[in-house]
Amino acid sequence: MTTQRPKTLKDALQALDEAEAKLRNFEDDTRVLRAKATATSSEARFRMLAEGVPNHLLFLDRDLRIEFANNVFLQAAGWTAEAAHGRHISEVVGPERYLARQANYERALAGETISYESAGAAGDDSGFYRFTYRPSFDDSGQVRGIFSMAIDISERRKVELELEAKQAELLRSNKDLEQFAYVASHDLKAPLRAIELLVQWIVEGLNGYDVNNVQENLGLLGRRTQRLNRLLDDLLAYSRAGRKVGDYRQTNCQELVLDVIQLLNPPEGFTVSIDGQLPTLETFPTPLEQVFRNLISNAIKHHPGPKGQVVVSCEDRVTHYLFAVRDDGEGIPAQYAERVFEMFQTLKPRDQVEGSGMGLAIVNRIVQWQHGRVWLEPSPAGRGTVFKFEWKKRNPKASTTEKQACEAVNQ
Amino acid sequence: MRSGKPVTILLVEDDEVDVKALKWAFDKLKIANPVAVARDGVEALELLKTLARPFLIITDINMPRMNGIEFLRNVRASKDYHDSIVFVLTTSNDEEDKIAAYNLNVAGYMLKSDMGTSFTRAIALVENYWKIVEFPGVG
Repeated sequence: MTTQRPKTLKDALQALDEAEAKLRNFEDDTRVLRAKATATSSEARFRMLAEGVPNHLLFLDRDLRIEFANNVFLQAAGWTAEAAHGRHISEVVGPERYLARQANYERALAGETISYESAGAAGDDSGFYRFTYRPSFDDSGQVRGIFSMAIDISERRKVELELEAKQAELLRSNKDLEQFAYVASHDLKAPLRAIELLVQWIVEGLNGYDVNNVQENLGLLGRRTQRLNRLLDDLLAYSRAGRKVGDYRQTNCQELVLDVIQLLNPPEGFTVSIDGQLPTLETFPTPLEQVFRNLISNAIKHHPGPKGQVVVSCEDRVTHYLFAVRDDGEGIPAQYAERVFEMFQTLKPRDQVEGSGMGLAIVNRIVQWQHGRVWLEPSPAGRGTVFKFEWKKRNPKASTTEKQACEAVNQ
Repeated sequence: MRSGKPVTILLVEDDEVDVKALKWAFDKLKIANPVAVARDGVEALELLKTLARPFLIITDINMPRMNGIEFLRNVRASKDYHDSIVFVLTTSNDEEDKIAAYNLNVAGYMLKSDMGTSFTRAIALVENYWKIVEFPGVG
């Protein structure tokens, strides 16, 4: 800038013009600088924010390539910022998940904010995450990319699943209770009513009022009392099935089944045998023994003839053993294959074959309690039935108890 | 008008003491109509094929193989016996059973526990019913 005094008015005006122009330039420069400063601080603020959150945060451009990734994401994915830059999102989530989420990315690119929950994020395939895609607009209102945020909600999800499982369990036990109430009001009442009737007849008979056969009625009375007793016993056994389990220990099934056979003392003409060698496994022997006892005694009790054969066998199925109890009885028609496992269901009137109808219900409950299944099939020999049930090699209930014990020690 | 043929009673009941009690009630009321007994729904459906009209059914609910409600469903769905007159005589005081039975158009739902120590009142009611009411499908 000249410090010379202007000699003429013309010179003075020119100097003024120059000064004005410089001032304008300076103002322009300031504006640019200020704008730059703002831009830097807003990016800095964004970065600070992006690194401050404990979640995965990405900025994806219109082609779904990573423009920015925060450290939480980079650490989870095991990439440097340079390695992540420019990668397509399908490389992050894998082709399958990309396909499943593609519609969501497209909607976000069309300007919509999307939120959804799904398993699997970068570096964590099993965790459960809540994803949010928020579009970012440029000055002209076009979507220039999307912010993608993934929040780890695995813990919440775990609690939710546990809650669902508990609710299902509650519903099941409620259903059990309802069934119990129904059964108590009918199956237990029926013999009681019969007893009431019989007593009345005997009294009237003794008074010479009626010609009923007192001897016969007394016999019926005794049988009904026994029936009622048995229903109550079996109902108790049912309610205890899977609750009072006793010890968890090494169990030789060969010995266990031989004991059951000896205890049941099959009538003459019946042979109960073991096909092959039954395994030794770690389990709760008491419920397993009850399952065998009920299945074998059922096979004998419902056999139509004076002679019969019951065969117990076992197959190794990696995670569990598949036990089978086969008989050569009259068989169970397919339409009753499920009903027989329900409480108090019999296929014959109790007056013909005395039974509570609880034996298979108890078996079903025990097997379900240890996460197995029981079902029946027609015997391959063309006559009789095969009951098959799965028994876990390691009891799931035992492992939970062990796990809980370990957790308790660690705390 | 009523034909002269006597009404056959089909009892569907698995408990022999109740069967005895019912027969005794028939005796006591001097009812000599023919009585057929089925032990469950499956047997009852078989028996129905041979039963001459007019007939009337008294069924229990809780029975082996096919219970009374399932039996009723089969009766109502059948071509030949859907118009049967059916009474329910049961120990089940369950509301769901009652609703199901009336939805299947039973003539009456009776509780065994309300009968005291004899079925005479129930049988007297049923007897009055067949004496007064016109039966379907009788020539």
